[in-house]
Amino acid sequence: MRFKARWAVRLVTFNGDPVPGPLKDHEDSELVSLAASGDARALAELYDRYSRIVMSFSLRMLSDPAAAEELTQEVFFRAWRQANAYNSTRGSFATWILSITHNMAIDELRKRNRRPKRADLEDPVATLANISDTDRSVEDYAWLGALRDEVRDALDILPDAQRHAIELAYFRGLTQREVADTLNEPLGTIKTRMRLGMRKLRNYLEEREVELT
Amino acid sequence: MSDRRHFQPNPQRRLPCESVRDDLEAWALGALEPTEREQIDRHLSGCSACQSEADRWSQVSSALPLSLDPVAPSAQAKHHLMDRIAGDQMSGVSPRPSIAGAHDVSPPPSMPRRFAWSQVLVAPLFVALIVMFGWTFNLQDQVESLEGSDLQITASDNTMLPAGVQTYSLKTECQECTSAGRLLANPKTANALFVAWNLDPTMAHQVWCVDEQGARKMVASLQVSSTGDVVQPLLFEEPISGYSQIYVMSKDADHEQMMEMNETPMFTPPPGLYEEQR
Repeated sequence: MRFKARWAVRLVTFNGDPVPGPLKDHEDSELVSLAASGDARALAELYDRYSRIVMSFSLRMLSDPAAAEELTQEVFFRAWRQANAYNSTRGSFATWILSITHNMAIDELRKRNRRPKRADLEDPVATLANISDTDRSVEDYAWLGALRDEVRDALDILPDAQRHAIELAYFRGLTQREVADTLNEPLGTIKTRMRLGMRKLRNYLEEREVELT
Repeated sequence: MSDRRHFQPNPQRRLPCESVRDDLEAWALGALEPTEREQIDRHLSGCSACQSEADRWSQVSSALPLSLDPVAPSAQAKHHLMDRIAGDQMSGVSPRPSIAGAHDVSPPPSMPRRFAWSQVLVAPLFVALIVMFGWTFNLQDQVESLEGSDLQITASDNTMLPAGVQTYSLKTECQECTSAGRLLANPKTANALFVAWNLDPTMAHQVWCVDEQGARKMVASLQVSSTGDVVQPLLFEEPISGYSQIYVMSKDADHEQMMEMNETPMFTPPPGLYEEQR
């Protein structure tokens, strides 16, 4: 008796790549709904889409690759557990997952009580230059590259003092008062820099209709 | 130096909208003092207009990480995450008593599993993958030696398996089910390759094992394709021969089912899997 070897053909094409499926075509909000209903594959798809961003953000804040990877897992596990809490009318999934990342990273930083001794001496551009992705497949995410260019352009229009104050607060988890102390500037000055810088960023991104997804 | 250094806001005082909106940029950056943040959060929970404005500022701050070059987590990170999720899914779900016995189902502690994957078993896994891929490519060579798309194999093809590798078959009590699968492993090792077809892609599928003491542990969550197929290397915590039972647990919101894996002396095609050639 002879049989058609459908199974064999499938085996030899196995190369470890994710199996393509209909989830690839789903919107983020649909995937979150599926995850909320218990579909782990939906969460895996969201992980494939956003783990690189979450990882780079975690690494930027924690400056520790192992801790950043651990945080990345925790962020997506929390997203899995709290998928029901996501409300697409309040913002994109990217906004949501990055907010979770930020909050958890700040918690981790404050738990460690590991503040930078002189964060003002660090060159943010040089720090960013040290972070790269060797995974070539990320280039497939053209939308992400376009977004990165837009956000970088937006940051470039800010005066250095405003951008620095924002980066110290957001990426280092410093409060306005801590930023003021770090830079040896009056608190009112720091507040003004942050407010003006954020308003310029918002205007720039809104004028260009830049959305996170 | 500081205009509000000694300011201690009363967390019980409700802030006016104008005051809240002045602080939303700092709120979105996470730059407020904890007491200030509490006040803002309390206001936002009762003011949809300010909440909407806060959401817009959150979108601005959340754009900042996009300026960073992406960094990919390690490949193991996703496996760890999906294992945790599978364990989370299975928690509170008991297998059928008639099959699984009276033991509670509980996922293994995450740290030992993580340790086992990353510290101890990387080398054996690597060796196992080489063996499995070697077997696969051996199979590929034999298949490609056949002509065209009308590929043919016979029931004696288990001779292609490396020495010592045993085939275990999925056994289901469901007469109508077309699910079928094989676990290929040397019982003296902890590595295996699992291949299955016609699994329900809408269900979650996990491989579980039972050791000699009756303790149950989840081995892995299966990454099933949209067509119900899966080809996945598995790594057990000890050699396969040390387990009294290995099974696949499948569940969704309404159903759960168990398929045992039994030793298969000879390779026989699963029912309904192959189309007989005329």
